[in-house]
Amino acid sequence: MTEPASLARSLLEEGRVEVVVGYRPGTLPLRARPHFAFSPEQAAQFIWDRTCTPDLTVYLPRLKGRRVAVFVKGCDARSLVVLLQERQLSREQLVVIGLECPGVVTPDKLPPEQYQALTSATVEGEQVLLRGGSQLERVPVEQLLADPCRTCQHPDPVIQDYLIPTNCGRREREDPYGVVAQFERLEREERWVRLEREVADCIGCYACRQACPLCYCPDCFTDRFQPRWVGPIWSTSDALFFHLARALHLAGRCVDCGACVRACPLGIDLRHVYKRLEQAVKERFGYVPGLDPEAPPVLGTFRPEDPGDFIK
Amino acid sequence: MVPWSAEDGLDLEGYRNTLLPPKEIFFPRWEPMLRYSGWGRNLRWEEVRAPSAGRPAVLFGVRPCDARSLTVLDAVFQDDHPDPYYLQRRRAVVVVVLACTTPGRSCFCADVGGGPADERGADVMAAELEGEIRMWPVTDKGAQLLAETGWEPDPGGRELLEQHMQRTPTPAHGVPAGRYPEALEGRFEDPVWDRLHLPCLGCASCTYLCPTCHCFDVADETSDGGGLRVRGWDSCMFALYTLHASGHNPRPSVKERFRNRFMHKLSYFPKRYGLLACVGCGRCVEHCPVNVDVREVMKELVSDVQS
Ligand code: SF4
Ligand code: SF4
Ligand code: SF4
Ligand code: SF4
Repeated sequence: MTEPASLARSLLEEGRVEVVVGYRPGTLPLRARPHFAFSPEQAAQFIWDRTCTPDLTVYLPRLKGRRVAVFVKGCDARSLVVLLQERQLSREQLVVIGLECPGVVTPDKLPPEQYQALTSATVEGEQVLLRGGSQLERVPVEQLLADPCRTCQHPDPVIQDYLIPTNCGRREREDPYGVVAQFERLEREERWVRLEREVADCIGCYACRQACPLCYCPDCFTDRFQPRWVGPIWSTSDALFFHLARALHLAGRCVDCGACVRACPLGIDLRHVYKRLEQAVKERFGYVPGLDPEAPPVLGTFRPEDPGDFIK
Repeated sequence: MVPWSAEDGLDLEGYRNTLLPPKEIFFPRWEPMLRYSGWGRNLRWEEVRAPSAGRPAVLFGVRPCDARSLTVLDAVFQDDHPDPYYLQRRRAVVVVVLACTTPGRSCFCADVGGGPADERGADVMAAELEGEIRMWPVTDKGAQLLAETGWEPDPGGRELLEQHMQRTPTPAHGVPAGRYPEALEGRFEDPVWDRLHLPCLGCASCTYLCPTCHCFDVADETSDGGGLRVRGWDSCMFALYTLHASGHNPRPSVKERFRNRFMHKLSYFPKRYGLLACVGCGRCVEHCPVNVDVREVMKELVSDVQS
């Protein structure tokens, strides 16, 4: 039995929790999926490897008040901390199983035709074996590594009751704001054009919002209609408004788990916008979200010494 | 699907299916219905149609599952309130279906009453066989298109395709077809939903990408002294979909919405129209952010009854 499975099993057997939320193999190559175990038998399916991409803390507000054990990678641990900071959960209801994270792989890094032609794939050490019928190809993990993992500053969970260590090596961290700098080098007009182009294909399915552990509002601004902020026309400007408003609502909260980008069926990627907001909050307020469950949320607090120079 | 011109050439290498289903051609993401201005006795309004409505077109390369989805949509939009927006486009468009000589890994059309060479919903059938595109008409509309464009109808194509298909693995995953309305009878309160819905995030990725999902909302985009009435896609996976003006929501959580998605596809729809509202295209399988796999859900719903 794998380590995650035996740990989950004992938590359920001892009655410490009602449910364990973790990962089990999915039905598509390179896609582990969420698994909810209520009985020790159901715990047998748990796995932990580099295909375990979903941020499972997205399910926790729904399980408010219940005793839950949850598997968290480095970034997921930080979204969990934000949920605790914002009083969406109580620490007492949770058993946190931390996963020392070597970074996860995502099929989004393969050209869609190549991914769709795969019949199975396995990660072996630093190699990914891609099988499509009788074809076999090896690619380095590095090539399929998710963008946030390339720059991740906190791969070890900042909060945990148990820790499952990794035996994979750690990689050099890239500049977390490289993607911001790249965008900011463009002329103002060009930046706008790029933003419009990025969201032009958005169909408004809200998978990005629903996959985000921090988009838990029961009443999203998109669902209000007095006034109605977006729709019923779904033009590029509606899509852009939705995305920029969502980004602002995540300022000082987003932990760069990447769930929103991976969830999008159209491949829309606004990570640079979220990273820019993260950078601004860090520079102005010296605050990094999701590190300390006791810290008050930065935009929910006022300090007389807070910088005000951006109010013109 | 994108507009094509002769200079583009045709490259079918690696083409499995489109990301968005052909429904968007007939039932766009949003479209205007009427424009109004004024108020009370000064109210003025006029009907408006999107420029795309009724424009003649040929859809080339529609897959057999998606062509069959058009028969599902036809049933809805031709029902007791024939829908002029949809039907106008449907009449103006000729559908050329491209048989799936190499079905994809998530396809399960054969499980739900279709098949990779199914001709239902096609005006013209085409297949890439031995490096050549063969085409033959299925409907009069299709025959007319071939006649007008000077294509020789190719009666041997169908037979050649049949031979090819006998050597091709069937896109089936053992999802038991045909038993759904019975299997789901009396299952509304079944505890199986408590478990099945758990991973679902409640987004609309599955329903917006689904070729048969057709829910819409009609709302006004208002501006100074007037507005535009618009119809746009909606999804039963959204909380807002069933929210009453009183604030009550009869489908208060993801569980009820998830149940509705499957009950509608597999029970309510077939009971009303005699067709399953899933054609096995596999889009929702491929694109659900958390890999909720419709094939497994379907198997589980039926196997629960058997055991
Ligand atoms: S906005 Fe995206 S990256 Fe940030 S916390 Fe939400 S899902 Fe994760
Ligand atoms: S998941 Fe993608 S298509 Fe859906 S609303 Fe978000 S950005 Fe738009
Ligand atoms: S089944 Fe998947 S795609 Fe559909 S609503 Fe649930 S999470 Fe979204
Ligand atoms: S339910 Fe899924 S597999 Fe069935 S037709 Fe819709 S998108 Fe395709």
